[in-house]
Parts: sequence; C-alpha cells; structure tokens
Amino acid sequence: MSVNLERIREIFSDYSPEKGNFMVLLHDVQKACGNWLPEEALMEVSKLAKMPLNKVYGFVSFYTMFSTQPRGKHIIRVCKDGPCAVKGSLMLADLLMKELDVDMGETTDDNHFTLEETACIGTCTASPAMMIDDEVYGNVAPESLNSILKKYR
Amino acid sequence: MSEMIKVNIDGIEVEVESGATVLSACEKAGVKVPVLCHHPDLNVAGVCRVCMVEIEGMGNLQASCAYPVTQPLTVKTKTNRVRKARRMNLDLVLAEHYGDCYTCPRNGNCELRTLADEYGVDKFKFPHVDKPRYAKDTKSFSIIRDQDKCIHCKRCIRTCIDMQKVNVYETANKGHDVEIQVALNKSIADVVCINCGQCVNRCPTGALWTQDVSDQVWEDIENPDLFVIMQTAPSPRAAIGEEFGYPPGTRVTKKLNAAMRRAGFDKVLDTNFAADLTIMEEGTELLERLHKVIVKKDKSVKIPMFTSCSPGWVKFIEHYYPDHLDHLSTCKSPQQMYGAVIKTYYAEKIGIDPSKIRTVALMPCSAKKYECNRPEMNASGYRDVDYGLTTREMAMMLKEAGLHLADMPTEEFDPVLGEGSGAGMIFGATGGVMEAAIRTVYELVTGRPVPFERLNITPVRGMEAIKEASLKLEKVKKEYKWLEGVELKIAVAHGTANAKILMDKLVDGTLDYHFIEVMACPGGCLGGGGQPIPTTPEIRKARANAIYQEDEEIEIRKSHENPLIQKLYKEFLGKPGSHKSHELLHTHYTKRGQYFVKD
Ligand code: SF4
Ligand code: SF4
Ligand code: SF4
Ligand code: FES
Ligand code: FES
Repeated sequence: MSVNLERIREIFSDYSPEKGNFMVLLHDVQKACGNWLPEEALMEVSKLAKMPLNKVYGFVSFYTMFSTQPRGKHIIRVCKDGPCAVKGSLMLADLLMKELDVDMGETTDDNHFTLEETACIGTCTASPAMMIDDEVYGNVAPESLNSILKKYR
Repeated sequence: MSEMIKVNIDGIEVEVESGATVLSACEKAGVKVPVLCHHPDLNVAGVCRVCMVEIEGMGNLQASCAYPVTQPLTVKTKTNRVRKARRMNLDLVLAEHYGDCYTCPRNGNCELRTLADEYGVDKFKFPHVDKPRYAKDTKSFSIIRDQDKCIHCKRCIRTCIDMQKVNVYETANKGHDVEIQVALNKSIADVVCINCGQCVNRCPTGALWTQDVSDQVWEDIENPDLFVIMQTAPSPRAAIGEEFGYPPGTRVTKKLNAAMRRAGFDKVLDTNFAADLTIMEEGTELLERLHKVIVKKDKSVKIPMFTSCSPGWVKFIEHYYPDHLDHLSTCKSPQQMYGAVIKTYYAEKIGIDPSKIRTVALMPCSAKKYECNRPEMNASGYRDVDYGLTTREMAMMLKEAGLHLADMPTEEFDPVLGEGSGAGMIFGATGGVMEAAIRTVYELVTGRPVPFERLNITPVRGMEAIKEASLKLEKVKKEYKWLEGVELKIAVAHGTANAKILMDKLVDGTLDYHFIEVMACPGGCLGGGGQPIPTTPEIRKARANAIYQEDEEIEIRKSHENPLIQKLYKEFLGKPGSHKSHELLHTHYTKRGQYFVKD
C-alpha cells in the first residue's frame, strides 16, 4: 500500500517537542498507514519532526506497539510478563498460534490478524490478559478465545 | 583553574582537579583500571561496568570512568570484591558476544580479548550466545559490520553522533533485545554514513572493520600481465610503524618503500607529488573565484571556498548541506588526481598500456575506498584508482609476506613523478593543506615567500577545533593589483562536528572567510579511519610531529617549486586550471540529502 504523505503532514501539523506529543502522533501515523510504519512514513516523520532517522528508528523500535513490518488489520497482543505467564498466558499464546496458523510476530495469510507478545499492560489483577487493537481482555479462558476472535473476523 | 583534590589510589596519593573522574586519578597514579566503554576521545557512557573500584565510605562499587572527584577519596582497585565484580561484568559482556578470534581482524589487537585474558576470565558463568545471530553487512565500499561481535559499549554511537555529528547508529529495541543498529536495519551503505571510519578506530572489538581488498591486490601483483603502481600518502608513513611495534610518531617512509617493492609493487610513488598538484589547481581556483567575486561581482561564484581533499567531508556536505556544494573546490583529492595522471601522462612516460596498469593507493582513510569507486572517477578512461588500501591493510599484507619494517633498508621513491615537496607532506595534518596553499598563493600574488619564520605558518597548526588566521596582501604583483590591501581570511576545521559549526554559520550568512580547510577526521588524515588502532590525542600529536619534521627536512617546501610539477605542466597539462586539468583533475558533486541512497 502506498503511504499517504499528505495525511502524515496533517497529523504532524500539531507536533512540537515541547508538547511531547510525539508518541501519540506516531500512533496516529501508524493507524493511517494500516497498522505499521513503512519506511516512507518514518522518513516523512523524521523530516517533519526534524529528528534524524536513526533517532526516530531508535524510538520506534523501543516500543512493541510500533512495527516497521507490515501487520494485519487487527493486532492481538498477549501479555508475556510474570503474573500473566503464571496464569497461563503462554498456553494462550500457543492456542492462538495454532488457531491462526502463525508464529509469534507473524501475520495471517489473509492479512487479517497479527499475533504479538507485549509487556505488562496493567491488567495483572485479571491475568492472563491480552489486547486486540485497543480493547483489553482480562481473565481470558482458553474456551472463550474463539468467541472473542469471532468479533473481529 | 579549579580546585585540586587529593585522591588516594591503592596507597598512592595524587591530586586531580575537582570534577575529574576517579579513572583519570588512577591514570595519574599509574594504576591501571580496565575499561571497555570508556574512550579518551568520547563522552562518558558508564555502561560496561568493568572499570569498577571500591571507594571508601560508599556501599556499592562505583564505575571509575563515570565517578567525579568532588572531595578527597580513598580508592581501592585490587580488592577481591573489585576483582570478582570485574570478572563477572566482563563475563556478562562476553555472554553477548559471538565470534571466533582466529578469523577476526582484531585478533591480536582486541580490547575485549585482552581484558578477558588479563583479568582472568577462566570460565563462563552465564549462558553464552553460541550461534551467529546476524548476517555481516559488507555492502559498503568502506565499512563492514559484524554485529555478532558487538558488546553494546556504544562507542560507535558516541563517535558518530557526538564527535562527527553524523546520525548513523542508534540503540534499538530494549531489554534483552537491545542492539546497536542503523536506522531500519539498513546496510550502512544505504544511510548517511560518510565512511570516515572513526567508529572503526574506536570500536573495542571486531564488530566494526574496514573493507579489505588486499586479496585482490595480491592477485594483481602476481598477474604477469599487470603493472601495479603504489602511491603512498603522508599519514600512513607517520603511523604504520605502530603496527610493527615502533612508538607513535616514528617515521618509516623509506623503509616502507623498500618493503612495498619487496612485496611486489612495480613502482612506488609519493602522493605528496599529487598533493602539490592539488595545491596548484586549488590555489589557482581560489584566485579565480576571488577575481570573479571581487572584480566581476559575479554572484554565482561562491566564497568561502572549502577544500575537497577529504572524501568523508565531501560526503558529509553532500548529505547534510546539499544546497551548498558550490562552495566546495572542484579539485579532486590528491589520490584521485594521481590516479588520473598515472594512467595518462605517466603511462606514456614509462611506455605501459594504461589498461594494464593497476593503481593502488596507501591511505590513512576508509572513505578513500568509497571515493575511488565513485562512478565519475574515471577521467583517464579507466578506473583512476583501482584500490584504496588502509594503513592497517598494508601492515597486514607486509606481515603476511614476512616483511618487517625493522629489517628493511631505506629506499627512495621511483622517479618521473616520484617526489613531493614538504608542502605536500603536511597534507597529513590538520591545517596542512591550508599552510601548503598559502605558501604558494601568497608567493604567487606578492612574489615573496610567506612572512613566517622558516615558512612555518604556525597559526594553522595544532589540534585546536577551529583555527583562524588572516594575512594582508600588500605590495602585490602587477597582475594581482585587484588584491592589493585585501585581508585574506582563512579557517581550518578538523572532525565534521567542527565543520558543522562553520557550515551552520554559512547557512545563517555569518561566515566571513575566503578559504576554509576541512578534514573529516580528528587531527586530519593522520587520525584517519584506516590508521593503526588505538587512537588517542597523544598518538595523533606524535604523528603530527613526525609529519612536520619530515616537511622541514625536505629541501623543496613549496608546491610550485617542485620541478616535477613544473615539468608536468610544461609537458602535459599546460597551466593550472587549463582545459586538460579540468578534464583530469577536477570533479563535481552529488546532492544526497539525509535519506536513503537509492541502489
Ligand atoms: S572481537 Fe575480539 S574477542 Fe571477539 S572474535 Fe574478535 S578478537 Fe575475538
Ligand atoms: S559496534 Fe563496536 S563500538 Fe559499537 S557498540 Fe558494538 S562493540 Fe561498541
Ligand atoms: S564511518 Fe563515520 S559516518 Fe560512518 S558510521 Fe562510522 S563514524 Fe559514522
Ligand atoms: S503482567 Fe500481564 S497485564 Fe501485567
Ligand atoms: S569503562 Fe567505565 S563503565 Fe565502561
């Protein structure tokens, strides 16, 4: 897919280092580009934010929610940190890999889902936890997986 | 001067300035503390923790490279606690490292390996990486990256970003997955890298290296159909001795000539000759530009003129100031001028078909490898320079051939285009091109030698970041009447961070000079990215001394007085700036910008 530079300029028209809104704007750029940050998008961001590309890349690579690889329409993120792992998030991840027929970090052939791990998302009291796009799911039982996925199919 | 504070290191009392690090106090006391991320040219990072020491009154061990002395301290560097922590931290560093010392270019000169040896790493306490995780990046003409050997000390980041103001590396990812990366995992060939090799000179391991073409050179030497001509720049001659155990600053020019002949080079020539040629062309260009600006009021002609002998600097301006390329002199670097002259004039003189000639340049520089491969560098009808060899590669070749400098007799350069003047020699040190140019330009304009004792233009010498001088042109020759009374203002910068200061002023319109010399590397070429490792301010000073001494010993110390240069113009080029000169010795530049270079 080609990158809509006009849209990125629009998003970044509100950028200022003082506001510290880089993260939020990058997020919007990622959405506008179809859930990932292609090279051209990062170059445009680098120009608009007057931040050298190596720095932009360092920033983007630090956060798992940004991707520089193409991703599916919906991003499933399974929490892999301690509390969730203890409560079975690894098994959850296994089930999802089987169900979607992908490895961790991969995208389904129909470009519908991307499966990822994430660090703690602050739902430890309801572990195991996962997110699909911006929606958080706590206490995910293996048998409820299919009905959750159905909402996005 | 700030207050002096007493520090006791293992029972030895020293005094250091307030704010100095504990590590520097240890150095002063003559106590050796191991370091990995620390480097004398770079800002503090404090990431490797192998420089830990015990400071009395402090619960935890402290990283001596990062701990400032602000009150009297008692420091212990050899306690069991220190030794154990040091070993453990070294082991942690080693755990990240995958590499095979036998096949590594840093074998024998690797800081990591040396520390593991000196500090008694006897068994691994942590799980170690046991398979390669990365593909080597060998696409660049100049720089090779082998990330499996990277220990995340960040010296390269600090070198590139802080010292050179180039934005190649950054820390990517986090936690366990941290790596030192080029934007978007690109090849270093496809980003803003200027090929200066300064990161290579400061990397403690074999994670960064320069391209190695020595095997191809050996092939060509052995090929009976080829005639292989070597040209050597001044800086390698003042440094290659270090690779053979001589102290920095030992001059080995004539022994090196002998060694290279024994290695099989058919001719050994002196790049200083081409440096003289550069001065003739660049000096003429400067006067032409000044004439157009002062007399003809031609707005399209740009002043100040910047020197263009440093391919790292050229690429820096192509990437970061692409709209100001008109300020660069159109002169090629001496290496490239020489290549073009060797495959034309010289080929005819020695009666050899230029298609059978291979030119090899011994350079202190990694960027020269890129430069000789630039598509436009074929003015002779052939690749003007076939191979750029670094000082380190040459040393390796000589060792491979069992040729040790200590055993060599002294030999001169080959005749015809053999020798350069002292002015050509000092090209190797920051300020040298400027000094050489001024020795010639001043005399051309006034008919008198420069008004400095023994021709030594001291204001442009030394390691100051930016040097300036001005020279009033008085009692000029008739043909330069328009320059009477003009105050010629010059400046010299070394390291692209310093050049950037000048460039930013140029962009603001506040840069008031006529002529500026820039070298991409600290100290000039003598601190180049192909020179022996390590590099420190002291080592660079020693090399500079060697270069200036050699200048004083050469009889001819002005480029225009080199009789071989006069002959070349008479027999072949006509006069400086002639049509033929432009064809062979001048070039043009490419606007690159800061984003990826297309394939
Ligand atoms: S970097 Fe050092 S320790 Fe690693 S393989 Fe090379 S020589 Fe050995
Ligand atoms: S590449 Fe070399 S200098 Fe850079 S972080 Fe790795 S080991 Fe250190
Ligand atoms: S060679 Fe120079 S420009 Fe390139 S990465 Fe190293 S320090 Fe930076
Ligand atoms: S550990 Fe999984 S949400 Fe906090
Ligand atoms: S040398 Fe001090 S922390 Fe690395």
